[in-house]
Amino acid sequence: MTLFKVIRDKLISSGLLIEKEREIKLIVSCLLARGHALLEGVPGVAKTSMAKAVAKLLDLDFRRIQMTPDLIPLDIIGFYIYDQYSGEFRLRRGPIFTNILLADEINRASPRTQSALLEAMQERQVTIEGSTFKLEEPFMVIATQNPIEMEGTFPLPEAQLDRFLVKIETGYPSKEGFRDLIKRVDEIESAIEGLKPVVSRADVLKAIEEVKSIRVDDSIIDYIAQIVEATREHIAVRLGGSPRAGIAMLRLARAWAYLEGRNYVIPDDVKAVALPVLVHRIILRPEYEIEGVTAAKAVGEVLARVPVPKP
Amino acid sequence: MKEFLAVMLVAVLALSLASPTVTSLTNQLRHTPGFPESAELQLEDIVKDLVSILSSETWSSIQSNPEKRQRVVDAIQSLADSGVLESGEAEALSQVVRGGDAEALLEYVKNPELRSILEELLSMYCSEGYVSWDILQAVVNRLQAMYASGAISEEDYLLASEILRRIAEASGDVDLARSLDKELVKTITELVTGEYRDFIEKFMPKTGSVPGASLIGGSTLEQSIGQAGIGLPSASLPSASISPSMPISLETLVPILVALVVVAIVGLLAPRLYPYAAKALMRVRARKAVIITDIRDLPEPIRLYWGSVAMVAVATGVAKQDTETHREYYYVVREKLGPLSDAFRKITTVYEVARFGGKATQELVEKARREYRRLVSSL
Repeated sequence: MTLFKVIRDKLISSGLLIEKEREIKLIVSCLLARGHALLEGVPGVAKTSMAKAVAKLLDLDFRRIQMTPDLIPLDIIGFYIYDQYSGEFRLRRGPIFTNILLADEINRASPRTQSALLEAMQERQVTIEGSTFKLEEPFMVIATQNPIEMEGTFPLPEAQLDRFLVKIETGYPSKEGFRDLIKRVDEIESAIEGLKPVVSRADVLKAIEEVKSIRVDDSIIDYIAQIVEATREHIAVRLGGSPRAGIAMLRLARAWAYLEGRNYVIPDDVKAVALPVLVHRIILRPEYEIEGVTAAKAVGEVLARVPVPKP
Repeated sequence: MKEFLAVMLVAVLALSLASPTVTSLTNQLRHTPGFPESAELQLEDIVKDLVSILSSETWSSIQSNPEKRQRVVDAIQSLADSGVLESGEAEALSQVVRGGDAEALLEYVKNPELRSILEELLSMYCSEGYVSWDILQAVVNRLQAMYASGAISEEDYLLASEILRRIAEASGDVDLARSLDKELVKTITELVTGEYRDFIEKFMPKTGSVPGASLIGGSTLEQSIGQAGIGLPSASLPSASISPSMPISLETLVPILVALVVVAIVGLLAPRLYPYAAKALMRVRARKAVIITDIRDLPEPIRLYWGSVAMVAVATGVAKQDTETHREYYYVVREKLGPLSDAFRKITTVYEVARFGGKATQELVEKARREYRRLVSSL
């Protein structure tokens, strides 16, 4: 049984996370691809529960920070504090020293704090008072942001958005799913709290290594390159996918194939990950944005135009 | 309103142009019915001559013999001039007889689906230099199913049969080429005799007391047709009883009036129907895609997959889009394939492993072959 099947059985089939299979799969893929995820959704759509449940099942350490405008970088990365008994400075590690960090409402933190977090995400290490500390693997940040409330927020600049491997948009459950959720809310909450790991941290690290050896045919690489290039040529797009977007798509497609139980990537994997990889990296021309064109629509059009590898 | 008037004007013009049947008939009937020079007798001679050529020769031998080919073309022309054959039928028949190149014949095929299939087949032939027997057989089966269901006209059927015959001949599939040759002879004979019979019944109502009736009676023609080996129901052909000075009968007038009403309705609805028609056309175009590229040097499972895709496209009428993955295509055709979808799924899986997994093991090759045979025998 593949890693994802185990997770799906525990979380989706058992009804703990209702209608969140795609989101869970993207989070786990992102973890295996050594990336970070930006989770966008209105409050109360199980963003925290998803992150917590995945961390528990994979036997990983999980922490959460509520980002606010008065949060400073030291609150995240940690600091040295003077211990008057020993007469020495002792290191107090910040919440970033974990495996899965949930940065709730990242756009509420000041740009300075956002930058500190994003730098740590990129480098996978932090520097405190001149001392560098490597972050323990696996390390993944799941940042959330609310698409509706913009007052008092500091939207992430494009360059920093590019650091997120994927942007996962999550929404409300269906009518039936919602009713089921209300009926079983107590049961669901206690079940998530009581989740036991299904794999060890060592297994996760092994899986990350195995993902790197997933076969990618040259034609798949061409296909990815064509998709990214096509986003730049799209009439409604001002800024298309960067080379980093292409790399992200390749890595995520590998992880996606791994979760599907294959040791090779197929065009379907690329199509499956193209939207979450590209949607936050594309900037539209304002005149088209006003007309209702969205980044997701532009990506959809690109996928509908770029031919898949043949024969 | 302008549009409506324009449509009505075009309709009236079209009807006046379309009436050479009546005009040519009246011109030819300026004689006493039953005399040796009568139009019926001339027409019957033409039909008999044509049927006798068709019954004694194979289609390819007629095409390769300039004299016989000309006789057939002339006969078709005469039948068209006299109104027995419609201009579209005559044009298609002449093209088939003259033996222009396959691309030129394709231009005359009207049915968009059939045309798309034949285009794909021709492009396959151009890139590969041949088309395998199983794909050809699948296309022939599809063509016959379309013809039997009335989805395509006789002209389209003839043109498609001739194109397929040529591809089969060029691909070395002698048996299929021969059977298509026979089918062409049979269909042309049926078309000509059928149209002739309809013509006589429509424009020369039976009087029961025409002396020349025995000369042009069904038995004589039936004998000729019988020689061609085609069992057609016997027809009693009556002689003509209308004169040039006679006003157009009610029988003729009613269809004209009906046609006028239909044209008027279509003219009124055309602007509203246009967007739907355009969308439908777009869908047909979108479905049309080149399904085969140069695959000769590729591993067998990959070749078998593309062969299967060609057959499935023909059988389901859904061509694989360039932007569609192999899995997406499978999901699109799955329902249409019914129980055969399992074989196509297995071929698709083997293709995926061989193409993207880089593994074309003997076991996979065997599996692909097995399922391919199953698909070919059932489609």
